[in-house]
Amino acid sequence: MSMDKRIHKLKVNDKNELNILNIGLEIFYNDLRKQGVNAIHVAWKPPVKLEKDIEDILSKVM
Amino acid sequence: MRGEKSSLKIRVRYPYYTVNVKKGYYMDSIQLLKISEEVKKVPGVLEALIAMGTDTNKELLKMLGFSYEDLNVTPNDLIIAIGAESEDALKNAVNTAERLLEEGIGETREYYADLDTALSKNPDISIALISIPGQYVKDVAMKLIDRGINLHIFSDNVPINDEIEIKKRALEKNVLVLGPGAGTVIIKGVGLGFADKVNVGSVGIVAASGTGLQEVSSLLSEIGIGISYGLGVGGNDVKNAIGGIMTIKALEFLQNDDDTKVLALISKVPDRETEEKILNYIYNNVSKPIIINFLGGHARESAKGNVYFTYTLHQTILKIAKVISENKYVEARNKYLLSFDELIRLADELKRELSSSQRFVRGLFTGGSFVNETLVILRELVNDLYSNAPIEGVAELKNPFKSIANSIIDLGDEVFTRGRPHPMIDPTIRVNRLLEEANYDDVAVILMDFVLGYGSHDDPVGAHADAIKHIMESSKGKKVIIAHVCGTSEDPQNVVEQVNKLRSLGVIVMPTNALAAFLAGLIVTNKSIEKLKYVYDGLIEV
Repeated sequence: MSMDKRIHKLKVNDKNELNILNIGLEIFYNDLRKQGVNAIHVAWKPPVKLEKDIEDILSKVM
Repeated sequence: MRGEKSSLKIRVRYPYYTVNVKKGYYMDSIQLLKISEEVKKVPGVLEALIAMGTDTNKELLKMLGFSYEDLNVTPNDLIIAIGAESEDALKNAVNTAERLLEEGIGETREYYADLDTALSKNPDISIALISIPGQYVKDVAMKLIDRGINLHIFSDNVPINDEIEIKKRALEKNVLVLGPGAGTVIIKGVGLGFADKVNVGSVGIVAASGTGLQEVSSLLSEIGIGISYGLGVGGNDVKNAIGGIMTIKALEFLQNDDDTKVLALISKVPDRETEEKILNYIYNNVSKPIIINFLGGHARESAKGNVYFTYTLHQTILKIAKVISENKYVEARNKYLLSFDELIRLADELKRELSSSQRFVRGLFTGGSFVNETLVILRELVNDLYSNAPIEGVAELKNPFKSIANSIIDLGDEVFTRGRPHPMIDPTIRVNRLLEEANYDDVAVILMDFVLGYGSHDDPVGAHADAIKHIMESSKGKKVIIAHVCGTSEDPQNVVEQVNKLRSLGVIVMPTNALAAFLAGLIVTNKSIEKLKYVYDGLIEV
């Protein structure tokens, strides 16, 4: 089976260009930056939980 | 609040204290660890725990001396517990905690508040590293897979049905999903998650065993054998529910990669059906040399000339070196092997310092694969062997918080990490446990791992130094502490410095985890010398 281009994107070129998105623990982002990698960080927060009755109302109107 | 006037039915050992709960407040466990550390620096503060209200943190609250009877807190709430020696110190500490919770702590540069914005501004992402609570992973993972982005899912506690859905979608979209529960990924010298700084080279490793990958990659790198890719796939991948989907995908990737000349597969024992499926794939599709280590598995005869089986991580390192060249094999033996006679002599020397009533080994590990490898060796040498992560032939330790007889504890197990950073990052739980184990009169040996690299504590040995000193100077009788440091001289913590620090504290340091386990076993075993040699030849030698 041949690999498609998406899995090829795991490879880095001579300029060490590997673009990484970090979501969650910031320590991993900081360590990627220390290694000189192109990295961005998403500061994740849990989704706001709606009260059950509001969810019910929304499910009826949407 | 004075200790004796508790309205929350909390008994504390601090003159002044507060235990507050902020309902419905979230911050990640490492940010909270840093805030706790900052609050502890406020003059007059004796203890501070600012953490989410998980069972693990409630247990830790007790360990730190904030005993309570009825604390109304859930994992979605924040606990602020501070003990101080004066009212002013307590007030300053509370203000510091509130300020840091408000402002946050850290040095983020490329910072996005939501995933959609991050993706729209950065369309060329190769891989995403996900470390959010397990129940939320699926939504994020699906969005990334649909955009053709490979994933490294560090998070544990992802429901198995979510993992199945994620991996099925990944197969449709032809992307790699490394994890959930994958601690380590290495891509051409770049480490994601817990990874050591290793040389780039020709060995490609697939691992359902995070610290196994760290041990093999770092010890190979230290003798000049580099790593092309280290692809952690997470422990569930080799269970029948998943069926080795990503293990096979990762093997296929390495077989097709021109820079990878030798493959290794390191894994906790797969479910039988999945093991057969993976081996079948290898026999039919992998033509490069491949060394397979199913830690704790049964003996296997290879059915093909390029496929080799080993029993331990230690043997895997020696075997890879042997496949690469005779010179590298000699180098590996010189650096990582002690002869049987040397080990017997060392064990006899150490035994002389102990009393005859000291009979047991206690292992306090941060790496799950080190627990596995230790059990593979100790089950041949001692009876009454327990663990919270048992393999065949080892009894389950029902209460992971309390050791009995010979107990090997995986402190990275989820029971110890709910709402807390992994013990490789935060040594609090292990330091307390170490002091507790040393109090047992019948304990002879304490075994420990210290895992270096990106993601880990910046001075793991230093963080345990006071506790080790206390044990070594204790009047309660001598304990032998045996350790292994997993890391490289290029790691931020530097393996040589960490080893020297341990030795200066009187700790015996072994070059591999397997040798540390074997030496510990030799100290407490009552097996015959012939049996010991048989175990050494079978599990250590190649």
